[in-house]
Formats: sequence, C-alpha cells, structure tokens
Amino acid sequence: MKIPKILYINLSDKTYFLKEREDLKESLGGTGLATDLFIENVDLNYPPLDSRQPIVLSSGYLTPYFPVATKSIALFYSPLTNSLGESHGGGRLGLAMKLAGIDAIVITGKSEKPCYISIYDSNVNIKPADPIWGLKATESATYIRDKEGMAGMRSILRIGTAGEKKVGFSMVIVDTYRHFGRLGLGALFGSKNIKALVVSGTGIGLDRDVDFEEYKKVFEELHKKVISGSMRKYHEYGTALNILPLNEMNALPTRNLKSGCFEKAEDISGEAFAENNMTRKFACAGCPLGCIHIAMRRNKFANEEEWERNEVSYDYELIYALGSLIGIDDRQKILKMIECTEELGLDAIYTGVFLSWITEAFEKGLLTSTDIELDKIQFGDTEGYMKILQNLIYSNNKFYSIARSGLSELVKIYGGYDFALLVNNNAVAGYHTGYANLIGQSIVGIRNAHTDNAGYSLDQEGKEFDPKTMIDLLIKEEIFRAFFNCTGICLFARKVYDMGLLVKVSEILGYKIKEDHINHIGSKIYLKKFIFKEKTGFDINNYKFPERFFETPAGKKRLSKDFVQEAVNEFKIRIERLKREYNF
Amino acid sequence: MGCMSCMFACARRVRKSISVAKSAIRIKTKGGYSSGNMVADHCLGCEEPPCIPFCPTGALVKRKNGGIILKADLCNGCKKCIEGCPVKAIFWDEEKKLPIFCIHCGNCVSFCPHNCLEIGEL
Ligand code: SF4
Repeated sequence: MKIPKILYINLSDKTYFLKEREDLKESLGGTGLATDLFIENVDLNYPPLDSRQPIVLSSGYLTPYFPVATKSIALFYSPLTNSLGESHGGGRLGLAMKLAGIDAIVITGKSEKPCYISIYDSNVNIKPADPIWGLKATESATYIRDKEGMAGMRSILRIGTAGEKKVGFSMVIVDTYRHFGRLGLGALFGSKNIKALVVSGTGIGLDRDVDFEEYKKVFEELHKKVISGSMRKYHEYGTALNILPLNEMNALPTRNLKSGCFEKAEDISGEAFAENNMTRKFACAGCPLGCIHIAMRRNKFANEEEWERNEVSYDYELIYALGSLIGIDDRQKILKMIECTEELGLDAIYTGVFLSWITEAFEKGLLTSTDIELDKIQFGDTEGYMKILQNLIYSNNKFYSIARSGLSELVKIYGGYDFALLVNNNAVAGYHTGYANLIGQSIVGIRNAHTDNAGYSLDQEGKEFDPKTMIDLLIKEEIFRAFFNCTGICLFARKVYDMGLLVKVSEILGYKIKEDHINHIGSKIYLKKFIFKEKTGFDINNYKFPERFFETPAGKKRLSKDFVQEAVNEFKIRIERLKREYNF
Repeated sequence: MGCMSCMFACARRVRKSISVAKSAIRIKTKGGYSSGNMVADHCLGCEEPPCIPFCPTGALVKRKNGGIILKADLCNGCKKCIEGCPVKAIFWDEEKKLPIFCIHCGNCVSFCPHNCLEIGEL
C-alpha cells in the first residue's frame, strides 16, 4: 500500500505542512482516507461552522490511473444536517491533487479576510480574494484563471454568494460543471473566508513503479469497455434519459410530490434536451465516456435585442429538482433556474425541494407574502423562484434568516414537515420509486443521498422484496460502495469494474486487496460514519418520515407504514449485529 | 470534451509511463469550460522548427517530415527549447529532467473516443 501524503493547511495562522501518514495506509484513499482524517480532526464541542472544524478533500486511490477513476471526496461537518457531510466531485480535482503530489488536504482555521488558496506541488499560497468576494461563482473562476498558471492541468474550486452567506445548502463548484453539491460544503468555505481553491502541480511522483505491460493491457481493455459497453448511454443522452421511464412508472416527483407524473414530461425529457438544446459534452479528466451534457441558454440581457448565449449543464436530478418538482415545463426556463443555482452556488436538488415546499406552504397559508417578500408564488413561476433565491441570499427578514439554515429549521417555526421532502434533513433525490429508495435514502444511506445504496435501482427491478431481504440488499450495496468510493472510480462505472477487476487494478498500483476483504473494508468505513451520525443526533427510534412519501403512490402503489416500520426494525437488528461483528 | 484519453495514451504508449504529466499533447479549455470549447496544445511539426535555434547544445535535430528529434544525451536541461516553441507544445519531464517532444506517432488520435483528433501528412 502507498503511504498517503496529507497536506495540512491552517488558515488562522497561515501555516501548512505536508505529512506522510504511514498509519493511514490501510485507509486507501477517497472516502476511506477522508473519513479517518475527518474523524481525527472534527471537534464535536463546537458547531459545524466553527473555524476549528476541518474540510477534508481526498483523491481516490486509483485516480487518475485508470479510465473513469476521476473522483475526489469531501468530508465535513454539515451545517445543513448538523451531522456527517460528504460530497463527491469529479472534474479535474482528483487528478490535480495527484499532480501536486497530494493524496488528501485538511483545511482548518479561518482566514482573517476573504482569500483564495493556491496549491502548487504541495506549496501553499494564501492570496487575497477581496475583489471576487460577492461575485458569482462563475465570475470568480475567470479571475482565478487569469491569475494562476497551468491551464489544463489544474482544478479550480469556488463558491458563490450562497456559500459566503453560509446558506446550509450551498455548494462548491469544481471546474465549472462538477460540484461538491450536497450537504453544504459551500458554507464551510464561506465560514473560513475561502472563496476559491486552485490546485496544480508538475506531476513529480505521479509515475510509479508498476508492471507496466500489465498496466497498459488492463488500461486499454478498460478504455474499450467503457466506450463501447453499457455505459455508452450516459454519453449519448446522459442521466436525463431517465425522465420518461420514471414518469411512465409514476415515480417522477412533480409539484412537491403531489404526484409522480408530470404531464409535460415529454417536453423536459433527455431526448427533447438533446434534440433541441444540447450543444456539446464534457468529461471529467480521465473519463473517456463524458456524461456532462451542456445546453445553450439564450439570454436577452438588455433591450434592443441584446442577446448572449450561456452554456449550462443539465442532468436528470437537475431537471427533476428545477423542472417537474416545481412545475416548470419549459426547457429554457429550467436552464435559467439551473444557471441561477450555479451562479449563487446552491445545491440544485435541495433548492428544488426548498422551493417546492415554499410553494405549497404558501398555497396552504402557512407562509404569507410578507414572509417571502413576494406577492405570491405558485408552481411554475420561474421569475418568482428567482426572486426567492435572491432573497434567500440577501434578505434579512425572519423567514429568510431561518431559511438559510435549511428546511428542517423552517418547519419548526412554520410547520409543514409532512410535505417537506426531506430524508433525514437532506433533500430527497428524484426517484419516488418505492420502499428501497425511501428507506435507502432516509435510514440506511450514510449521506442520505440516492447514490449511497441505489435503492431506486432496486425498486426499478420490479421485484417484491420482504423487508428483511430489502434491508440486506441495501446494506450490502451501501457497504460495497463505501469501499468503491475509496477508489475514485465514478459510480457510473460501477458495473464496468467488477470485483475481479477492482482487485486487479488495485494490485497493479501496489494495493493488495483480496476480494473477501472488500466487504470488511467497506463495513468499517460505513460503521465509522454511522457512529458519527449517531453521536451527532441520528436516532433511528425517533425517526419520523414526512407523510407526503406515503400519500403519493410510489410507482403504482402507495407505500405502507407497516412495511417501512418492519424494515426499520430489521435495519436496527442488522446495524447492531454489524457493530458487534466489528467491535464498534 | 476534456477526457484526456489522448494524453493518457501518449504517456502510456510513447513514454511508457502511467503519469499523464508525461504527455506531449495537452488539452485545455479555451478560457474556461463555460467558453464551450477545448483546445489541444500539440506540436505542429514545423518544417523549420523555431525551437531548434534555442538549443545551445545541439540536442535538437530536424525530423524528416517536420518537427524535431531529441538527442537526449546532448541535452543539458536548460529548458530554452520550451521558450522557443511559439505554440507552447514542448513540456518538461520532472523525473528525467528532459523536455517532452511529440514524435508524431498518432497514438493520441487512435485513443480519442469521440473523433476529435486527426493526423495526416503535411
Ligand atoms: S461518467 Fe460523467 S461524472 Fe463519471 S467520470 Fe465520466 S464524465 Fe465524470
């Protein structure tokens, strides 16, 4: 196993050092390494946005050595859930960290003034960011691009004004079209006065002593497999291709999940975007597939026919959250909403869930126009939504001041928990497919994200599972993914890299991992995070699901609370057994 | 689209390296991803290579159909050739302390998954 090199940066006293952590060899990289670094640096005596709390960024241990191994992982104390924050990002970050000779970065402290961090070959420069503080995330990147070198071999992370204002669901943008989207990393950056971070390096140390012929053979086989196999669909239409099938099965959350079927699904489908709006595709560095779909948004920015074209990335989750969920059926308007969340630096999924809750709360009279500082809001009102998002950042009235902490805080004051589409305080992803999705995200999932254990995909198999089998399958996938996310391989390539291949590619790079050990590694990572969640308040015995998930049929059937309760009970037994098995 | 498959291929096939930093072709955006375009920095195979006069030790010689050949044993590692390339297509191998030149083999082209690159006779 390779000894990971960790770059520690303390912004309060502007110091940094690189340390080889022999003791963390077994943590591999990605989420495994990030978890250990996070747990040893977080301090539960202080709130998530206290300057002492760490931001951990960790590159996958296979990144960037094999096709589609592109990811890096962020771990932090989430200001949105007051619990574990974990987000996965692509772009060039994983590669750039390796070019700089770093496996992980731990940032603590707080800069006195707005700054951006520039890392080159593990040397750190903390530079002033006053000119870009207050600017859109998009504009601040232009500034950094002009100031820093190594174009093409660098990664630029930045926040928008949402992060500066410490909105609980603000994100960090990675190289324009990828994100650390979930759980509020943007607010962590903001709380430390970090507007941006740029990483690059000469690549010294990137070369390693390997069985080169074997490496070449395996790499080239994988390259072929990725571009010609089942992953191809991600290149052609991207995940947006799921809009129609999910709508067909009554699982596309529509108008705050009052329904699972959007009457204008055809208009906002992946096919419609591809035919009418798509202009090109991008890829993360090291991914021959390229699933990042870009569409052109025409924008009339001034009178007298003054137009500009903006390139906006779209995918399934964004079309769900900023389309069907808030009743927008026009592709240009969806792109406008996406662009708005990008500029402000907000997690698009959470933003959709937030706006759809506001719309229904307003309909029901829980909110007034004084609260939202808008005459009225109704589903499909793009202009109204844009205004609400501006208010979220800039208004200091009571409603928006609370809203910046997220929906969980709002429902405490204004009510409406039962139609807030939350899964343990995170916003639900766009698959109202059934039990596995709901329980997978709310209970089993460590980040309460759909990609934790892909419950939605289990539901879509269409089989009737009993609660025990379903929990078994969800935990099994969750544990496997806990290991998989150490590698840095994109989850879209989950099926390309089977167990045998994972063992082989790891071995080529000097990581001797036996197939039967994968479960062991994944279980330990999962348990470490689960314990952290329990310590920060996750109490499975008092978990309350919002009613809306039961009111609206998931797929073609209504979900039964009894079944869910049985599954939760089953999970309790399984997690306790797992803890005993691993002495946690 | 920025996947860098060409760069990985160049490093792997030509330099026999697993480090993408060894590539003689570099892909970058044309002013950020949102500009909507990528560009490739690569050797143009000049008939009269302007980098050659920059080399103080005679380590660079003209290649038959354009471009140059490096005589590694003559190179003193001064990096002047890098300055001399008007299209910034000479890179630096930090480990070997030698410049990285394109050899016009076409491996990058054959690994481009989406037909973005072409190679032909000048
Ligand atoms: S499939 Fe998409 S997200 Fe995954 S590595 Fe490739 S471009 Fe990035």
